[in-house]
Amino acid sequence: MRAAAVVVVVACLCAAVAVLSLMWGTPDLSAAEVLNALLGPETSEGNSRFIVQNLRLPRVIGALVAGAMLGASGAIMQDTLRNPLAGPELIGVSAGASLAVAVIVAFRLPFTGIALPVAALVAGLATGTVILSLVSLKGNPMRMLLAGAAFTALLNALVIAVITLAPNFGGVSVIYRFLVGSLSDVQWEEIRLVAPWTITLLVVFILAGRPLNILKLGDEAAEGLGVGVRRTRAALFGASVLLVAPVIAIAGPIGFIALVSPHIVRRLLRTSDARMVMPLSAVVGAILVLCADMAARLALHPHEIAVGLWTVALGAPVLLALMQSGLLRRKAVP
Amino acid sequence: MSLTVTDGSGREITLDSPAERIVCVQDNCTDLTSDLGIVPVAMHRGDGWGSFAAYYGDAAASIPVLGDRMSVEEVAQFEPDLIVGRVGEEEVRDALEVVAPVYLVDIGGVETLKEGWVDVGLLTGREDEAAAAIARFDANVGALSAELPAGAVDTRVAVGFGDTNWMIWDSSSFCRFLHSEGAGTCAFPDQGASEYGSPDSEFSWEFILEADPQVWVMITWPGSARKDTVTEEVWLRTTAHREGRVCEEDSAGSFGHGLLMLQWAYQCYLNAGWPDTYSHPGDLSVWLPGTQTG
Repeated sequence: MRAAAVVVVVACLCAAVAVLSLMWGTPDLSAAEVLNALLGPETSEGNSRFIVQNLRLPRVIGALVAGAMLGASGAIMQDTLRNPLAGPELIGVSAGASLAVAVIVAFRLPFTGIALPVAALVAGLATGTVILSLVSLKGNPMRMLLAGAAFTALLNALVIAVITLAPNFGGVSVIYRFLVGSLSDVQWEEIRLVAPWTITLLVVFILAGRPLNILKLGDEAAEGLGVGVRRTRAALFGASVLLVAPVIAIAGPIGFIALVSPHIVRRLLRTSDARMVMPLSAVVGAILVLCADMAARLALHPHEIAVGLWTVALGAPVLLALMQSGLLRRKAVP
Repeated sequence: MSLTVTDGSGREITLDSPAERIVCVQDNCTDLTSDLGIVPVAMHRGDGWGSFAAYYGDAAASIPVLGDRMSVEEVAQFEPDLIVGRVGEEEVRDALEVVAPVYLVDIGGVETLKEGWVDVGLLTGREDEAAAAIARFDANVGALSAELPAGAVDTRVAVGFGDTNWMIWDSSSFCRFLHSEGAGTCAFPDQGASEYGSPDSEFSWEFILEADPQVWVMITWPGSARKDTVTEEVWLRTTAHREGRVCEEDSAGSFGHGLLMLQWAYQCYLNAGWPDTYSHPGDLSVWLPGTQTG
């Protein structure tokens, strides 16, 4: 009963924030005006229709998708690695994508428009795959965590090296914005790039819950229940890569969402059942990114503040509050 | 008799005799040195526009180019007796002043640029050249501004990087210059502080639509969008783009940072804004000493 109520409230909240995101901006629009801009006949008056259809709607969808995929990915990583602080930043995707963007921008390689996020996507997938193949997938998950952290640190160092050594200072703002995470340039082209990957999300929702719950029992118990630990962990790890890479490609590494969302959900549901936590983490992640993006657009209007700064600003206090309440100790996966 | 001036950062600089070996550690120094008839013994080269040959003629080939991350040793090997940089990069001054006195030009406005020209003219024994350069600037700008149509000051102006939403603020030196000449009003308000201490930042796309600039100064760089290759739908919908009032300024990080660059940017803006009145050929050399039209 409690779970059902939480699901309804969270889903309604997500829808409400999405509608507000479509209404608020330059200009502020009423709900009726938004509806008219989306569905009404085309008129030559004003830019409202263009703003809603071509600027706000793709950005809202981008925020929903990014938040959902990051939230789900965080739940998977924390359960797979049996560590409440695990997150997709440890699988090298963001560092690999960032390195690709840094190289392209700093050395003025001919990747313009949608070619830049496509390159970031390919690089993110490639580094995720490399880490996946390098780490020991059986045995202590801590080894995976450390290997991922080491490889990510190496890639991050290369990003700094590229920025330091490159001849092009002019691109620093582009690299900076990518490293922080921003949705300001998300339009329909970026949504078309990321849309096919949302299928991963559905597949994960359907298939990953049970094996995640079993993995939490420990490797030996999981093997005893007939789950191939190595294969399952590799599949879940790979699913995380597929969830995170497209998000990073269009928006950069938006921090804290993957880390915080599952903890919020475990607290709301009072359970760590992955079949519930994972999908609801996606919804909570979507709400957090939507809120952060509204702050990015509106807090210092007309100035844009990168959404990644707001997710940290929102996420860090939440995480600290969770730690203070002892949730991370009590509800951490076994 | 010693030569003493106060640079753009407020620091006093004293030389025992006029400097003869000048090292430039900023792109704006091309304007300054060529205006004063100086060939630097070494120059930094970043994203600035214009070839060295355009500024220094045959002497350009012999000017060593400093790397982007010049070291103290790299600068010291040229044995300068004066190093010229710009305000905002005081850390460069702090690192290099063990080699030679460092003069920082304040690029924040026309008057501070002129002060830089006068001071460096004094430090190099070229006061007359500095005065002549300033007079040329005033004459050229005055001649251009005299042709402005009535009400030009109300023209909504966008100055930004490529077809991105990264825009220069109305408090920038170029925007204030435009406004003071009665040529236009930049539409993107000051945001207090940006990440790099420069007067530009990322703006909401919706605000760009609302501002609807009438003339667009598009700062370009290798690989950026050009006025004929704009793909960003928001920019395509602006009055400036629809009416073709777009100026392409290939200056990247050095936009308007010197008196010559400022003249060139102004002319580019006027050409785009009022093409029936202004039709400058767009050749850098017409602004250089000895080839002036103004």
